[in-house]
Amino acid sequence: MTSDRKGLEGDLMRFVQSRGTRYAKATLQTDLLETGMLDSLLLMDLIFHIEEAYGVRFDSDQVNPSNFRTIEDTVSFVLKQKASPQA
Amino acid sequence: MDILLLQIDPVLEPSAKTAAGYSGPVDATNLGTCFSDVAESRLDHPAVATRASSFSYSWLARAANQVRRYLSSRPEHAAGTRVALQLPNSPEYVAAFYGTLLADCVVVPLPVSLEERRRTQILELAQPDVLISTPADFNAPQVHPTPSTLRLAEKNDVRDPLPPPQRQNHDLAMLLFTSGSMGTPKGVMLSHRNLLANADSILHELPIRADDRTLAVLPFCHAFGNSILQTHILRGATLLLDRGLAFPSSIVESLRDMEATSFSAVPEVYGMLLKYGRLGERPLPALRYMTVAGGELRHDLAEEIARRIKPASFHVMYGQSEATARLASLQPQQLPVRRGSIGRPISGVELAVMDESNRELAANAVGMLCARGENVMLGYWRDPAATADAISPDGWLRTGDLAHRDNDGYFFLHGRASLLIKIQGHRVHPAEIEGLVEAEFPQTAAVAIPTLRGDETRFVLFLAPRDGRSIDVEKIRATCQKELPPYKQPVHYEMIEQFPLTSGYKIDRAALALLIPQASGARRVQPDNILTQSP
Repeated sequence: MTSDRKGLEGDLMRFVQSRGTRYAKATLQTDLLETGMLDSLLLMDLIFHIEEAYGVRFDSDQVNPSNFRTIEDTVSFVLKQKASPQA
Repeated sequence: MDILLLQIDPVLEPSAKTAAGYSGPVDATNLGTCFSDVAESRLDHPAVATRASSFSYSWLARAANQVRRYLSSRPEHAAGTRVALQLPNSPEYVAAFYGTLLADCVVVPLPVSLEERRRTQILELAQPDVLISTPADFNAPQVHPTPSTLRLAEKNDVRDPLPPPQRQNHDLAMLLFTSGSMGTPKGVMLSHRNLLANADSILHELPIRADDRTLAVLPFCHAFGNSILQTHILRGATLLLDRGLAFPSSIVESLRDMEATSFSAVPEVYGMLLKYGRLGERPLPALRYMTVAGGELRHDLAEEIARRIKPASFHVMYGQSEATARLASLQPQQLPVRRGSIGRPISGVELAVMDESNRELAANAVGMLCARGENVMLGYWRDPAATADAISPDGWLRTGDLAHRDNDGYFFLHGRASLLIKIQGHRVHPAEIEGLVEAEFPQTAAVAIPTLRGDETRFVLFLAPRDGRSIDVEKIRATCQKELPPYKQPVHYEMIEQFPLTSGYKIDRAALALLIPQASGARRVQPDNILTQSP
């Protein structure tokens, strides 16, 4: 489980950091909303990436600030969804 | 270049006095003066409101005059001086915009998320004398002149009345930088007349009222967002600003909580609102209408939006930066029967479909969509050749969009005549990506092909070696990520031995589009390994 988390954290960190110099400093705990890093384009790209890469689908209820405020939040959400598919 | 940083004094006034609504910019000749007239008639009515604060028209007029006095009192001040705005949608932006016009200067808005290369190009082209920003938005490591600071909007700013501005009508008011047909930035020159005429047309077309509150998500530095700003301020209405609007559900919450009466966005945002926003599940009693422009929204999605926001109405619009903003509008009741139409020209605008020699084509023939009216730009900044290509001697602007007109005068688009595409309302030319890669990696040929990913248009970058040597895709990817803003970054990189060619020996972009692998967005990582591999 911890290795799942590490791998996922690494992947999503790379995904966010690679978007440009403004994103390079993002850490697991960076508040992507407060820092203005999360715009609608990054949100859509993250959702697309997670759906394609991990087979996790988002309901409209789940596309909200609490699941995307930090990379850590998103990782926790994906792991929770993976653990209980269709739950 | 002087730097001016704006800070807002946290002094807020109670709202009380509100005069009658403003009748519209009928005879005005200077947009700044026009704003001042509106502000005088609207007094304490909120011009800009956030969840926490409200900025009245009186506040805004004082703030704009502070900016004006700063600009006018510079020793080098001259009419027509360019002033760059590096500001997000904010009260500061609005104050700086009108203050600049009142000082007889020209507004050059810099897109907030602009990549450094592009920003430098635009500053070199526009050569502004002053850059206005805020301490939070201005982050230059080394600044030659120490920035000046202005505290907006001090109440004790009572001084001699200012003389009326000199510039008017066909004088340049705003330089709007957009992507040109070769991928380099082009400055669209908009005059006071252009901006006033288009605002006037839209105020005729849309039911914008003085008590309206529009949730402004479109950046004011773009043509469509600027149009929202001008029309609502000139009507004396209220611009609502909120944070966290990346989330479709947050947009719907803001519309509800802030009692927005209208909303305008680009097609991608509507796609998200439908998919994740639960739009229409809970009533939005204050909402009267929504508009879409800045790209094509699929007809079925437009109908779905219209259905979900009833009884509010949905207006499909069409426009272009070169025509100030908006050119055509489809009346909501026509949406079900004119499938895929952009509507008819708004008042003050002529639209026609023309052939290569600017001769008008008959109904139902596909050709170049052309527009004429007082909203058509003066031309491209310091580029007479490009201006002559875009505007015919008798004033017709070639929009670059292919279209036909039906027998009833409704227009329908048929794609772009050039390679320019729209991503989230931003105009992007493939050459912007290709040029960057080929400049940094001269041994690599690059061709960017637009592709639909979900409902969004993005680029796939095809790479071919020029000399048979192998290509380091990771280096190219890193360069794109460093130099390009996210919406321009390719979502997939595809290697190819050589490019398919047309019979004219040009790169066959249509053939390349067929080579885009399915689900190309997912190829960048080996995802299933990540969840199982050891750290």
